[in-house]
Amino acid sequence: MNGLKKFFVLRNLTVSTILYSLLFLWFIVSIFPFFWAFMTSIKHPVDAFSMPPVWLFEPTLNAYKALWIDGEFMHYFNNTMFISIGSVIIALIIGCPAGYALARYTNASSFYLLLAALVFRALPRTLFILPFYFIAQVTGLFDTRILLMLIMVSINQPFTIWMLRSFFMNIPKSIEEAAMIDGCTRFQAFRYVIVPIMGPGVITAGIFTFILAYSEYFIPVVLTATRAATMPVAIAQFGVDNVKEWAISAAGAVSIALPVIIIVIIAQKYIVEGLTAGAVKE
Amino acid sequence: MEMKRKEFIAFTAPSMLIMAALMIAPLILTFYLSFMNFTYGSNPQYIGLKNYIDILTNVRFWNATAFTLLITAVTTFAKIAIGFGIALLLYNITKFRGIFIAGSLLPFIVPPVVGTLIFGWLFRQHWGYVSYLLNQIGIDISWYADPWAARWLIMMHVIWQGTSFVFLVLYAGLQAMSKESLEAAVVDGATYFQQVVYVIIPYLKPLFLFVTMIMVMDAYRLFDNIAVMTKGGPGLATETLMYYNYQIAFGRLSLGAGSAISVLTMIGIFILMAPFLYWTYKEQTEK
Repeated sequence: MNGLKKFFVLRNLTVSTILYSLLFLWFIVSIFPFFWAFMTSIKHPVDAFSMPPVWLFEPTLNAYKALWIDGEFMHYFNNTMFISIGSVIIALIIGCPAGYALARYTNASSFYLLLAALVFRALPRTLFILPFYFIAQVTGLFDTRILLMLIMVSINQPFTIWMLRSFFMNIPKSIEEAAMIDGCTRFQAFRYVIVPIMGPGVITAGIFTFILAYSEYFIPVVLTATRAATMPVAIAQFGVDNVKEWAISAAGAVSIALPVIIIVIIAQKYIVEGLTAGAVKE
Repeated sequence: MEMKRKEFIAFTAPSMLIMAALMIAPLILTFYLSFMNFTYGSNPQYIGLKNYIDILTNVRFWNATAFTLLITAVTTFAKIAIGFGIALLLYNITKFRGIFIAGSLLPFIVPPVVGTLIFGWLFRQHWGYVSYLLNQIGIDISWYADPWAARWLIMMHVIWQGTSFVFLVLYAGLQAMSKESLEAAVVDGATYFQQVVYVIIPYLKPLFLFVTMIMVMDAYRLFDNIAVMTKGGPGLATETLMYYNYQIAFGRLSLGAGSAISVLTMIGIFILMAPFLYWTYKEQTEK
């Protein structure tokens, strides 16, 4: 990297300043809405609505109290967590063997399966959900968390498997082959040799599967009413033009975003790895 | 020791079964329903291609298609241009990289519904901060009431949300790039601009293809931000195909017609994706 730096001649301080400024600009653009929502959530409504904006004000946690303690947000939070964590567990249990198999099986059908995975990812969700709308009503599974969880697992499987496959491709075949030469079945080799070392890849795939399930709006909004509704559904009801309860919906937005922000800060490495894995290593 | 077919089937079976039951089966059912007249509460009746004809002759469908294509083209291009620019910028920077990446990841990773809300609030007429700033310099735009302003609002949000994915992938590609070709270009006297155009862009071509494909796929299926920010409005100005589908299928409960729209949307996506898949295939076989 040092050798290359010579070629991008940055001795010119003006150029350097411009570069940093542009990046800083984008950084601000990216996080300003979050900052603003947070400010709104801790302002008294009279401060929140005043333009020009009030920067010095008396903060309040009224909105959060109304949301979490007086309101039903806890219920939606529980639903979201139950569905998301459940999805991840199931998705990984069935996805890891599948991803591993796709990484090792070099026959052409492996390629076609991957192609199918990409195609499924591209399809509009309505294609899958529409029948569920009335199937769920008829079978009494409408507005249940289990149904949501299973559908999320299924719909995100192509992506999960794709990501896991690219991580398994980085584990040399020799590792499990050594075990199999010693007499293990493939499954034993997988269970006792591969599983212990696939940690980082699984964590990354798990994070993404979690975020996908956590953020899902279309599927819950169609398939739930009140019992199994998730946080995205709950907060979308406030809408962008809700004036009366702006502070509360801002508090909701912050509450929903917070776990994800924490994940980004703690697991940034994994997220970046996951986003670029499919692309760069192809 | 190659994996045997039996082993492959055993390892992939649970996953394939769940996908078959909860994804492929509904898909087939939707196809089937698209040829039916089916409202929830009554029995489906076979009506052949009537749903398709009704939709394809409906202006509302074509409006939604046109807007969806517009968003796809504009936002994908913008995301790639800006994302590439950011990747190049970051490549030349040594400090604050981690913080920058973390911050610019937020719009992409946070639930789209949340991103839509916090972005949309800034553009509200009377209490949105961006509206206020624009007013200060004499610009007064009714982002939610003016059809074209609303369309640009949606597009701006999509760009805000998705650019960081493009930037990250291209940046990772840049870091994997070998320095020799760049060094050779500099030795030959290339300017920075020439380095970018003749060395970096060709090297990153597969990645450009990849992100373009992903961004096209995602833009075509936009739903969350429309549903939360404009609800297709004002009027039908910002209705995308997915939202139109949602309105017909679950608003009007015309599940047969809704299924037909889904199938048509799918055909649209295949048409859009075909060139990308072809290019990717060519790239792979050229290696």
